[in-house]
Amino acid sequence: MERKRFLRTVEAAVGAATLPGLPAPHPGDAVPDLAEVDLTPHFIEAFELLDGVVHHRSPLEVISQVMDERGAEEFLAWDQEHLPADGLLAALAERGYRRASSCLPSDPEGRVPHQMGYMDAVVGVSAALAAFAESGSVVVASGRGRSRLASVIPAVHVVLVPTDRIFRSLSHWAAQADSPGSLANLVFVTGPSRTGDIELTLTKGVHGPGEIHAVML
Amino acid sequence: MSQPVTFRRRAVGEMDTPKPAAVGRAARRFMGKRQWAVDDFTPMEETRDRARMIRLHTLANLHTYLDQFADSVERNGGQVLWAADAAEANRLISEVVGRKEGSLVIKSKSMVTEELDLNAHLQAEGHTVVETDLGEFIVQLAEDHPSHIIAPVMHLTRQDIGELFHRRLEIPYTDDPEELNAVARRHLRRFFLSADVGISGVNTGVAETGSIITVTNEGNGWLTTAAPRTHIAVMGMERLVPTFADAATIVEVLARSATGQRLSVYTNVVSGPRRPGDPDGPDEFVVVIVDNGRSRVLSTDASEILACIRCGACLNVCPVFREVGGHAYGQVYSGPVGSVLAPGLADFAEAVDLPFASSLCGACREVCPVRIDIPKLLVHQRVRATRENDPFKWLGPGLALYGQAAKRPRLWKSLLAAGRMAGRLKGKDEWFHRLPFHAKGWTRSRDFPPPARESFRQWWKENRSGT
Ligand code: SF4
Repeated sequence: MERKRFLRTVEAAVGAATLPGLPAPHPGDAVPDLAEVDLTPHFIEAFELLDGVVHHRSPLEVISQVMDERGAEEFLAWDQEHLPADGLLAALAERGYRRASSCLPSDPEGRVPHQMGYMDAVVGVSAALAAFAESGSVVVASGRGRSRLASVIPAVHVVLVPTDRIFRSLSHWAAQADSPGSLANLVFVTGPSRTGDIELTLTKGVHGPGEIHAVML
Repeated sequence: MSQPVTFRRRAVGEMDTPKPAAVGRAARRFMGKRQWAVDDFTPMEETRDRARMIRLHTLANLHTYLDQFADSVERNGGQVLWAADAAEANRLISEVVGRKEGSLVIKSKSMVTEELDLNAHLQAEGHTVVETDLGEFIVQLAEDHPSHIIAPVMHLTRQDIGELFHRRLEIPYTDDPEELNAVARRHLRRFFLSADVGISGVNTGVAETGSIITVTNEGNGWLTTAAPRTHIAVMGMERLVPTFADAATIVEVLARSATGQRLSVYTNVVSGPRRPGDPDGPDEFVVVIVDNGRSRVLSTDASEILACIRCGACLNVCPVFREVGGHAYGQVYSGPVGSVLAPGLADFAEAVDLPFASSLCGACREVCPVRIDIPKLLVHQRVRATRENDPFKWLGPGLALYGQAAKRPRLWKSLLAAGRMAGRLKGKDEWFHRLPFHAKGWTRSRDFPPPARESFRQWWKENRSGT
């Protein structure tokens, strides 16, 4: 059906609707509480409550440790220029860890064979565009040099969190976010992947990473 | 009156199986969690008020916001398709999917595609459709239907699931949730990485930015929209808010009400196909906006139900839902919200008895994050049901007979004696499931208590007369 006709039907229905509180004004922008507080401890508390692991060491040490514990040699990661830790990828390469390519080949037919290479990906490294203290969430954005699959495919997600990017809550961040629709994908990640589908017993890592590590910068 | 299969018939059937015990247990555990989050979040009440205003404002201007939403999606490089009903939606979706023969389609949980019966449609055209939400995946393996908006396999025990995996996935039997989980992860991973098309629902669309938001705890929503070359988002036309900040409010109350989390694990915002330079993501992004009865609901007394954000909280608190489980409703949407929505969306006669499957206790209104007055809407639907297709025709003649009998003392006494006799014949304290003649309407939706051993008059004579 074309848009015009569809919308005409909707408009007629809206005209006949008996909604409470008409004319139903928009509530306007929420007034965010901007009192100065140190949000880092709040974020850490919320993140740990979800079984996230917080680190205050260098990203190089944290990633090496996670890789060694699992006997992994390869990892997925964003490009260096999007990671707020200078020289991290070069240093990891020096220690003998290989970074798998996370960029799709230009031929569309090459997508599936390329992605199937991620079947057993163990570690993925990315960074937070922002973080929410209230819920312990990190915002992972897509863009040039910033692979989505690097954050969602591996069994362990290591995310670098600059403490000056912590906001009180999603609402507080959204109130000031500059054109959030210009990036194709934003994900607010709140703890490890979990499901309660089997008799509501909590199990982790059903599809996304079962472990998430935040490296505070 | 001819009713296909009534709520009563389904409910009695469901109560005879062990399922509702599992549902009741599960629903109560959900409630426990929800309580925790509400205590934890101080401005919850204000946020609920805001969420309600945002939703009502959107509905009151729905055509304008849909128009703006479509412009924004196109600006981001996506495509919008409009479907008046299920048949059109299925046709539009299969045109996109069918560009390749025998496509592999992965899906993340979506009520609206259940409503369209999309899977059956795509499968009939030779495509493979895989549900990726663990619960929906289990439902699909069992060739069953989901029983709850948020927890689709509430009605299965882990032994049921272990048995099912053993049979269908050919693994050794286990009923350990961790192991079952790992099996599903491995099994589904292959599909995620090699699918041609990902189909998601939409928790909320954003008119201002042309974004669609899905929330999942497992991560399947994110994978479905990130790995395949084509992403199709199927959206009920009312699932919209004006701004990004509004969407933030909605997903905050949604997570708290649905499962008691501060935010769901993955709140996934998709705004079009991948941009030039993005290393991965879909090349193609299509939003299918579905009416399928929604404009009809919008134009009735029950229009407020379209403010629903599908959190499932009203199901968990509903004493009827907890007794009978989701399947008894016989519709995609069950529980209190379903009892209002289903008769509007479906062929009215098919769901006409659902608005009566409630005691109007009001627990659903208390708990609803957008404060929908569900009991009032149920009454509206009852009025409509009675006007269009009176399920209480028996009441008039039944009462007339009662009146005749009550006016004739001797007839009255002998009828009572006959009743007591029937009660004794039936056995001690047995309730009547079926009464004869004009009284049968009574037992269509409730049982009749056994008559007392002696009449009140007899008792009075023996115990109180003369004092
Ligand atoms: S009617 Fe209210 S409580 Fe029920 S699912 Fe919808 S939003 Fe949740």
